[in-house]
Amino acid sequence: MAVQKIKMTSIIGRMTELDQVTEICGESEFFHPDNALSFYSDTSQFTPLSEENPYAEPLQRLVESTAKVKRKLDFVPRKPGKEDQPAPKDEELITYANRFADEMEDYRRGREKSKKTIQELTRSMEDISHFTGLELDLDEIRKCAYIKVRFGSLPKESYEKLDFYNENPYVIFFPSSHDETQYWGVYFAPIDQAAEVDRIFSSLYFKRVKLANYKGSPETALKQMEEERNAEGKRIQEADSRFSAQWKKERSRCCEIYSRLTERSVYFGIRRYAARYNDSFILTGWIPADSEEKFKTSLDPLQSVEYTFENAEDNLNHSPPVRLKNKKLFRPFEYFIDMYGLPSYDEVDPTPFVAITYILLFGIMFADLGQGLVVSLLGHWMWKKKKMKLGRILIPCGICSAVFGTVFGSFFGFEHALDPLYRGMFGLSKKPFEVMEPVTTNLIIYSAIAIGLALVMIAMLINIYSSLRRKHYENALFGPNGAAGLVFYGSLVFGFGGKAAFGWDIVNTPYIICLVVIPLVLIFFREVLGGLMEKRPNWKPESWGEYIMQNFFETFEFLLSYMTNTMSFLRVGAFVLVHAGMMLVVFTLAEMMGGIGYVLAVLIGNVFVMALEGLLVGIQVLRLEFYEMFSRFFEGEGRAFQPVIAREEAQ
Amino acid sequence: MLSNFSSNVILAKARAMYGRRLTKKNYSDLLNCQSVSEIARYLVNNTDYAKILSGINDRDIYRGQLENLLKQKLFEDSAILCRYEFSVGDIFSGYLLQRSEIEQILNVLLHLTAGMPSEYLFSMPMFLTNRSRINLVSLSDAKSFDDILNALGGTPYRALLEPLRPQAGMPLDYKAVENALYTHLYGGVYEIIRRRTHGEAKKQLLEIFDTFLDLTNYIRIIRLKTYFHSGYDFIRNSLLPFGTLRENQINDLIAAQGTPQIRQAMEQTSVGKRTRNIQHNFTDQISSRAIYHVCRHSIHFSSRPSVVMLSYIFLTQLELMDIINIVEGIRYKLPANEIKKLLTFADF
Repeated sequence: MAVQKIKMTSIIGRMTELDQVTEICGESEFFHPDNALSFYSDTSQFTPLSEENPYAEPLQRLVESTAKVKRKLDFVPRKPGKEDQPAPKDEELITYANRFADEMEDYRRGREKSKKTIQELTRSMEDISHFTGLELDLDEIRKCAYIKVRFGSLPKESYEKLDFYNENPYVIFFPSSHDETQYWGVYFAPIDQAAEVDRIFSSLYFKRVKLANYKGSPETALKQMEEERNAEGKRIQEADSRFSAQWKKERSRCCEIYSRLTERSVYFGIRRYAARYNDSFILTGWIPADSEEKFKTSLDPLQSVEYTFENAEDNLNHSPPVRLKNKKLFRPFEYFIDMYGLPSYDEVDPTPFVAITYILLFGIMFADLGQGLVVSLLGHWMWKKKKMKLGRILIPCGICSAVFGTVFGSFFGFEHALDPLYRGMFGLSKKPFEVMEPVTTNLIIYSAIAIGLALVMIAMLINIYSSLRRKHYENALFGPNGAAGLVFYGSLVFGFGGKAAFGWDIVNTPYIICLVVIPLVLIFFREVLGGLMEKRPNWKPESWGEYIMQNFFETFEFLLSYMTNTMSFLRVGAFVLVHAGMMLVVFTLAEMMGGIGYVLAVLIGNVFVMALEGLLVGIQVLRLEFYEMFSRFFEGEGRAFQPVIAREEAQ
Repeated sequence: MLSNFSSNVILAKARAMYGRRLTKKNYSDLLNCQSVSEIARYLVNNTDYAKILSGINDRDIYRGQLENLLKQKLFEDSAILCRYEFSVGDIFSGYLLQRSEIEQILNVLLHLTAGMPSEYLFSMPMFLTNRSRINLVSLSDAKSFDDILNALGGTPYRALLEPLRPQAGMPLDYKAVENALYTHLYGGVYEIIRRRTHGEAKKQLLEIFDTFLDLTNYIRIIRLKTYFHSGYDFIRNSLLPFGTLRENQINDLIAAQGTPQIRQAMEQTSVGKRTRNIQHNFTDQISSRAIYHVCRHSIHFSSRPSVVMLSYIFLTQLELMDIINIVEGIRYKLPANEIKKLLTFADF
């Protein structure tokens, strides 16, 4: 359960060497910058560095222009061994980026202009089509000297609002046609009122169709527009082929410039975390503890630069960033932790716990040798080919399914296919577990509850450990998931569960008073007791009546949650039975078909069961992790360790 | 108890509806749109807004029309959820309705102050007329403050606005009206949370509203001090009387000189510490981004129906605000990266 050791570093030096420092920090790819000002209580002598990034604009222009012309820029790392070669000068980078961005912009603008013209022509043609067949002479309308005639459309809602409007007598709309959302028609306004009437119609989202701009009739105008539209289409095709040829020629140079500009822009971005003090700067950040020496070595050649390193444990109030560090088998499960929220630096990392329990529960609930191996292979393909993080999780889960499938004797739903194996290897007459037998069914259900009891108690133990480590004594000792809760829950489990399962007769009055009632009272008064223990000044509730009433409901809720959380694990057993049941249905259907139908039904049935059950089991186990276990010990309020890495910023 | 269990359907329903939110790709594509019509067309063809926008003439749609339709979707989606949530569902649907009603009252007052009261009609969302307790058509007919009070008859707003009637020849104290209305709104919400919820649900609901209102007050202080150079009393009266900020903390915030100092004072408070690491491009953004983080976490992991439902409502509102910001940005021809800075959801 590990969070990588982090160190806080403060770097101080002359402003003249700040650029070199940021470059070293950026190139290290393990420096997580943090706002230097937030580390000091008195910042009156410091000023933040709020300079404009000189690389940002050309870089942004280059990226945006390239994206707009639907081309892709790739980040090209500096060639190894050639780091000493002189890097391109700033001026060279910026000039190239601006020049190429201009050229792409020209091409795009020309193309867009033609496209826009085509769209406008198409729109106008559509608009005008609402007024064809009315025998309109547009030339006659243009001759009107004392009234303004406005053709156009109104949204239905606006047309309806006109019924409520009676302020201006000239606001009248004469519809000629309409559909479900729009009314087309005309309004008239005396020349001296035109501006006001136009303004009101504009507020009503009137969309004007400038019919009077055309000569003759709407029909002749339509024909003329069609010809103009075809000519614009040709213009676009010619511009496209010209630009494709140019891109082919310049692509590699453009990617090189883009990569160097990205690096410089990202490294320059580190400056905004620094603070200035007279002619010196201070830069604060976080690095992995094991990279300290490497970092020192790279900073040492700088003359004015001095640095200090401090353990993150001594700076918890600055919420050190968190990077999870787990064994290879557990690492894929960091994906789930990331999804829920990273642990704080001093909190327990639940990844190994999640990994073990997830693999085990998935294996039990999806127990089938053949299907498990298929899931593993599928996971391997998802990870290797599609880079899906879920794929890496499915690999161990599938293997565990195969192991439990062997225990339950299920191979692609064939419940007796493994019998020869048991006979040959273990000398058994048949498989050890017949899932659908009533005795085994009960055993499976009881085992599921036992798993639940164990996991809930482990979650409580982790909570106690984690809370003590963080000095949250109230939560560790008196909380429903702390020592009091564990004693209460454990005593019920061992007292009553032991009696039911093994006939233990350990429950008596002192047992109930000491292990059930007292822990419950401690939970009830946890805030008061915690407050007294942590010497909080406001430990006493403002109103005892309200406190007791509120805690009565809360305690009731805790009690209910102990029961529901435990019962929730019944699904583990239920899915074992569901698998056997579903495969039974598949084989019943297959036998009804016979012949080639049998093979097809078994094949399709297996695919269906694998997909459906795999998905359900995956979700259900995750649900158990997040709700039944995480809610007992994990807050997940940490922030991620995000070092500055230029190639990642470029993606 | 039974009703609480029945409400659990909200968990699945709200998460399923949240799953249909705008994706990172949707956001990127929207930022690359060139006009309001293009945005409307994109939303129709690629997102869950298709249903509410279906049938519109995406070619000629205006910003105001689009906004009203999107708000209508927020209402309809929230109404679907509130039907299932027995404990506080009616309250949250009431909260949304009240918020909209307050926006309409403030809108008509702005038109009145500008001397064009009858033109409120043009911006009035027709979908609200069937739902609102206010007769919006009468409100659109109002020519004076008294007419507005009459139109608000039978609603609690009348009693709130009555003492704020402007004296003859004096301008309307718009800020006081706004404060009175929002105090009424949030006061009701807090009252219900305290009376009708308990335990973890109460804690989580209070966290959402407290965070939101603490940061709203913080932003108000910065604005009033920085842009209007207002005095202590004016600022104090402009704050909403809710949240976790204590009297002395508020005094420290008001007493601080300049934005960096106010920010520093805020970082001493518990909400300030919690939200310190939230990236934001300008101060106003911190409240929406903080709420976004809290609600996103709640909708993923809370097991309380009322919390999940409220988180869904807040997240949908934030998404709506983001779309409106994109629409505004594109109307004013801002570059995509500048518009992106205005958005609450910026992780793309």
